[in-house]
Formats: sequence, C-alpha cells, structure tokens
Amino acid sequence: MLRKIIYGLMAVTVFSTLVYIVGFGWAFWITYNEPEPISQIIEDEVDEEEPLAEAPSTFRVLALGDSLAKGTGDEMGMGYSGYFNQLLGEIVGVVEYENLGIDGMVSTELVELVKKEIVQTAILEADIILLSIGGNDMRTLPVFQTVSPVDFMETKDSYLENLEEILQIIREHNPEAPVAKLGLYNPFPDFTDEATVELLHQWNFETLRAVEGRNQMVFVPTFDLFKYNPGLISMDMLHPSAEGYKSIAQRHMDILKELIKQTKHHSTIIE
Amino acid sequence: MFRLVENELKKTLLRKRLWVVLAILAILTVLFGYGEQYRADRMEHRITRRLGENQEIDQMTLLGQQISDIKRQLDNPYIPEQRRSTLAVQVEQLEYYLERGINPFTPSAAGFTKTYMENLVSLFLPLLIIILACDMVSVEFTEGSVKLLLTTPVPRWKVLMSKYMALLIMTTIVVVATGILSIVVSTYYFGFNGFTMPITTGFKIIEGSLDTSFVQNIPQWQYLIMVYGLSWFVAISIATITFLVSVIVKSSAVAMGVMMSLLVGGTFLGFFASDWPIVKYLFMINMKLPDYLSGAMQPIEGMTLAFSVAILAIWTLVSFVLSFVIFTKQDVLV
Repeated sequence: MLRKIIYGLMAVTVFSTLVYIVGFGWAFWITYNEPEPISQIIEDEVDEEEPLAEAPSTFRVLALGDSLAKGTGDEMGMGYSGYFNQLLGEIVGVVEYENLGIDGMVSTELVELVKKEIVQTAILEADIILLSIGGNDMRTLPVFQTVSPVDFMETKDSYLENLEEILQIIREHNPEAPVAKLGLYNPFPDFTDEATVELLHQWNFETLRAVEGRNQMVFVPTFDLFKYNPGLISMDMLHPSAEGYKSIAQRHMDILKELIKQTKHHSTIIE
Repeated sequence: MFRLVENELKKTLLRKRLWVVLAILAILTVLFGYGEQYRADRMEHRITRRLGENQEIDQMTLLGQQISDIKRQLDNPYIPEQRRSTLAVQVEQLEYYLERGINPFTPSAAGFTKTYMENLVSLFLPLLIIILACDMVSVEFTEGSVKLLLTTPVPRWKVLMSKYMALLIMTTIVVVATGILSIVVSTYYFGFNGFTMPITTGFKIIEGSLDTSFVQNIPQWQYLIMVYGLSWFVAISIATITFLVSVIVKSSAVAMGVMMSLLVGGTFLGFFASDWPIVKYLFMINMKLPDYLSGAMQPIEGMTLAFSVAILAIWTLVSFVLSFVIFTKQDVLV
C-alpha cells in the first residue's frame, strides 16, 4: 500500500516537474523575447508645417494632462473639458477643442509632451488651456498607509519642478491664454488617515502658489466639491462621474467667465 | 539508487512531516480563500451603497465606454510608444470582460491561484520547504541512526543522493499541492473560472526601470504555469540550501532556525538596505521571481529575471556540491 503511494507520488513529481520546466521556459521567453512593437511612431509622419484649421473667430480650447483632462469615468465620455466647452459655446459661439489627456500621465511625461513641436503648435493656437496633472504622481505614494515625509517631499518637489517647467513652456508659446490648473481631491476618504489628507492639502497649496504667481493662470480647487458628495465619483471609485465632471466644468466657468469675455473681446478687436 | 530513494520516501511519509506541512497548507488556503471572498463581498456592498442597485448594467456601459475611449486614444498621434502598447493590451482585457459580462474586480479560481502563489513564494512556501528539508540529514544524527546508515556497503554519496532525491520529490509535491489546493478551495468559493482571462505580461527592466513597450496578454492558465514553474525553481533552491545547512549543523532545530532567520533577515534587508548593491547577491533577495512577470518587481539596480535565476542557481549548485563534499569527508562520531 505504501509502495503504491510512493509510486504515485513519483509519477506526479515527474509529470509536474516537466510542466514546471515548461513554465520556467515560458517565463524566460516572455521576458526576453522582443516582438514587433505594437505600432510605429506616427507623429514623425505628420506634416509639422501644417497649421491647425484657420478660423479666426473660433474659440480654441486645449486640454492637457491625465485621465481627468481626458474625462475617464464619465459615462457620457465628455469629461470636464467637454462640459466646459458646452458652457463656453453659450458665450463665445463656435468652440474648437483638442484633448490631449492621457490616462495615467505623470508630470515627467507631460514635460516631454509639451516639448514636442506638434503640441507647442497646439499651445500657440489655444485661447484657453485646461491643465490636469499630478494625481498620478501622488498615487506613486502609499496613500493607504503612512506616507514617509521624505518620500512625500521628494515626489512633491519633483512634481512642482515639472509643473514649473510645463507652465514656463506654455507661456513661452502662448503669452496670454488663460490657464486653469485642476486641484486634487481625495477619492478614498474611507481609506486615508488625517495625516495623508494633510499632505494632499499641502500638495494643492503649493500647486496653487506655483500657478497663481503667473500671469492669467488660475488654480481650480476640487477637494471641497468631492468631500461630502460620493455621488460625484464614478463607478471606478477613482475618477469623477458625469455629475462630478459637470460640477468641475461649472466651477471652471464661474472662475474664468470674465477672463473669457475679455479674451473674446480681444480677438474680435484684432479682426 | 531507486530502492534507496524509495526507502527514504517511505521513511519521510511514515515520519508524518509531509502530512503536517500539507495540513498547514490546506488550512491556510481555506483561510485565504475565505478572506478573499469576504473582501470581495465588502467591496460589492460598498459599491452598491454608493451607486444603487443597477450598478451591474452601468458597469457594462462603463466598460463599453472605456473600450471605445481607448480605441480613440490609439488613433491619437501624440501618444508615446510605451503607452501605446499598454493601451492595446488594456483594450484586449476590457473586451474580454465585456464579452462575458463580468466585473473586472470579481475574484476567480484562476486569479486566486495566481495571486496566492505570488504571495507565498517569497516567505511562506520557503518556510514549508525548510520544515521538510531541515531534518533530511539531521534526523539521522539526532536519532543515532546515522551509524546504521553509514555502515552498510552503500557508498556515502549514494546515501546522501537518495536523501536529496527524496527531498526534491517532496518539494515538488508541496508545490503541486499548493496549486491543487488553491484551485479546489477557490473553485468552491468563486467557481471554476478565469483560466482564459488575458493577463498582461512581457515587462522588461531596462536600465533599472520598467519598460512596457513589449507588453502582451497571455491566457491566465499559461501565466499560472509560468508562475508555478518559477516558484518551483525557488522551492528547489531553498530546499538545497537547507539541505546543506542540515548536513553541516546536524540538528533539525538549528537548521530550521538558521534558514528562517536568513529568510526573515533577507526580507528586512530588501526593505531597508535597497541601496546597498552587495545585497542583490544574497539568495533571499532574489526569490520574488513571479514579480518580474507581473511588472511588480522593485529591484535593486542590476536585478532582472535572468540575474535572479542565475544567483539562485549558483547558490543551489554550490550548496549541492558542498553538502556532498562535507558529508562524504567528515568524520562521524556518534
């Protein structure tokens, strides 16, 4: 009887060893094999001389940054830039917009993006720029546990450096268009402790200082909007829902309305 | 040789150590399975509380929207290369969920089995292996049977080899048992599903940071075999090193103590001394092999899958050779 068990065990061992060796080999193959990259880099093929559509009376909006700029989490797919453009249309008429929001974008990636000629052309031609960045930088910290002050400072300082560079580049290519920088909210009120929320406030505060110090730039806070309104958060429990995005867009409009009227006024005078 | 190995196995099975280890494993798996189910239920409650009863339908809408959204992004010429490949594999995964109408966050048997081993391989699985391995040789000394063993006409190295083979067999059995137990338990809790789900892998570490340009999806069953293959390799490595320690110290308790301290000490070193390059040559630091596959690896500079495997292989080989040299040459005074 014992002998049968032993033979059984040996058989299982031999079989599974073979399976494991196969698995081991696959693991190496998948890590070191280099298939065709998924796509070619398209941007080199785009004619960089070609300007965006000419329409002097059109108001142009440029949205830059992460998933919030893009509108992830909105069941309608609009995002705050979409709703903002609607509200804007009621004031200025025809609105053209370019949305360069990318999920998961961190500040270092945005710095790279705004250095591209194509994007700088878009910045040049924009009448308003909506900026959302930093959320993903913050998410590299262990916000569900205690964040070490040193890690936080490093992450924050590096993000602020990048933010300065981004704002600088924007102003270099477009000296006057209003820029609205979205502030961060806390999507995890049940899972974060006071100390971490305090860090979030600090992050927002220093962002505010960096932004407000510049000509025609404004910081748009969102922390208060979401604090007691869980319905404004999407089903993915991270991004805003359609309602959330609408609130953000309305807030942008409330803040920027006068500036927009001046800008529109300005461009009609030129014509 | 075959008879010797058979004999060693018989001794081990009768000694009940293997059964104790398997029992611990079974209990732990059930506990983990229950914990996972509990967590998933609470998550479900929390979502329902926030969003109301028709979240099921809304989730499918959200998925659909995410998919068309990503497809639009792929057309966008501004996207950097790395992000493009990440997006392409994301679409595949989302389409899988949408076609089957499943919520991406629900646990599955296959998902549980994968995560379970990914978590066990660096500490708990080695612990079990150490329990088995530490007394392969030591027990003969503590029970005094080493005299009988070495006075037979069988050469010493064959005696040791048969023990080593028996150890390898038991190690493999434990890894197999982990897989089978987790599949059985998770099927009970979550249903027999998730094996065809696409899992993203193909992460590379280039110059110390994660490169996602070559990511691709593979079915979860294949991914599972890869994870278990790597974990088995780690288990064999630990078993061999413990074997060596057992030969040297001749006491099960000391062998177990030494190995466990090394393991736990290694985990701490990994946290606190990650800037110290020497640390990456220790075997304890190189045990999280499945993390290379999932892109979760936080390596010390210079660590890649090939590197970690090579380090473990060297430690295993040296331990193997040393244990034989020591055992055959040492004077046995009982």
